[in-house]
Amino acid sequence: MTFSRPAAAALAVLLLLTSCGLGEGRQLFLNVYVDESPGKALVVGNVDDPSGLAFLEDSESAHEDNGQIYAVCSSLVQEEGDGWRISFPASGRYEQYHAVFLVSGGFSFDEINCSDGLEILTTSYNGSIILDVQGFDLTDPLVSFKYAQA
Amino acid sequence: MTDICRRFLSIGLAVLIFIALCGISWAETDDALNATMPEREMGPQCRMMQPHNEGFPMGVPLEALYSGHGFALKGNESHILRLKIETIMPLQPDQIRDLLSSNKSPEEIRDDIQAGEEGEKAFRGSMILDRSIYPLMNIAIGSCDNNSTSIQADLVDIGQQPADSTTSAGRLSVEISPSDGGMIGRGELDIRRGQSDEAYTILLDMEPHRQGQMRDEGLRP
Repeated sequence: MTFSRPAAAALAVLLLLTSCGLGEGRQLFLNVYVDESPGKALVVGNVDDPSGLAFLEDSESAHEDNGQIYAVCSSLVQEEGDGWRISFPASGRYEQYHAVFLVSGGFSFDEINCSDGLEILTTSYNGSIILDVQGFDLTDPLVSFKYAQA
Repeated sequence: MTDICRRFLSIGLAVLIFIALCGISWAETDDALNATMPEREMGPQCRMMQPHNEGFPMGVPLEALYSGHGFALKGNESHILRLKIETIMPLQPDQIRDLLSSNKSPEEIRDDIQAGEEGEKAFRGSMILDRSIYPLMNIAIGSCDNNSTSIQADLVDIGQQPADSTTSAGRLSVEISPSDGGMIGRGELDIRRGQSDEAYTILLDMEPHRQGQMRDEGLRP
């Protein structure tokens, strides 16, 4: 792979210019675990500023340690029809956003809704279904999905 | 004459980047290259760490170790590319199930997680190419003599289900080095898209690491 020096410089300057306009936002890296007795979720990971996560205030208990969050929440999971729905809102601007939802117990995804700018990947691992959601430079990202017994 | 050619090349690339940034892409898949993916080897000046996370990595996310955005380029094609490597504390789903059913407090859960996997932090990475997420596996990070860092990883085949049995959909190789006050990642990407194997040159603007969040001194080369 080779770039001529002027071409490489032009590309580098352009990339740097584009990043200058992005400003400083929060970073969020969280895993949300739900087990086969739905209703309770364990949220673990790292956020710059947990104030954008309103569900933490409603959580049964939460612990924050230098940006590292450990929370047990019942407000994230709601029964809906023949299944369950997880709504995961985050307010504010996020420079980087990566949330992974892991649901164990033989469920399947019925419906997935994400706000603009979020990219999703669904997979399964060792009996759990996984929704991987990522995005960059987002405002008020929201993930909502329904799952039911497979 | 050479200068004129270089100037035209620079302007052309600049226009290409600008158009791609505006969300307009004329990229179309060319005919299959039918090329075998070449093995990537690091130069002798690079020191590689052992690959982490064979297969789909599971664990508690700690922070972003490397993050960058830019383009994958091939001929007159440009594709928007994101790359991110995070550090995680490995934790299997069955361990989480045990924690959830134990009715432990978050403080106790934290203590259990930290006590169980102390010192075994690992990498989790992903690449987003044209709005498709490709998880990374076999992530190897190395330091080079010229103040650069090299990252090599395989792409998980997202068409392969379940993720327990991972096969590679390609390979990524990036060298991150200082440039004009920032950090630029240059490298190559070989990826199977549909029925064809594609080879791209990649260029990334790497975002600075947030100070004060580094808890994994043993991982950064």
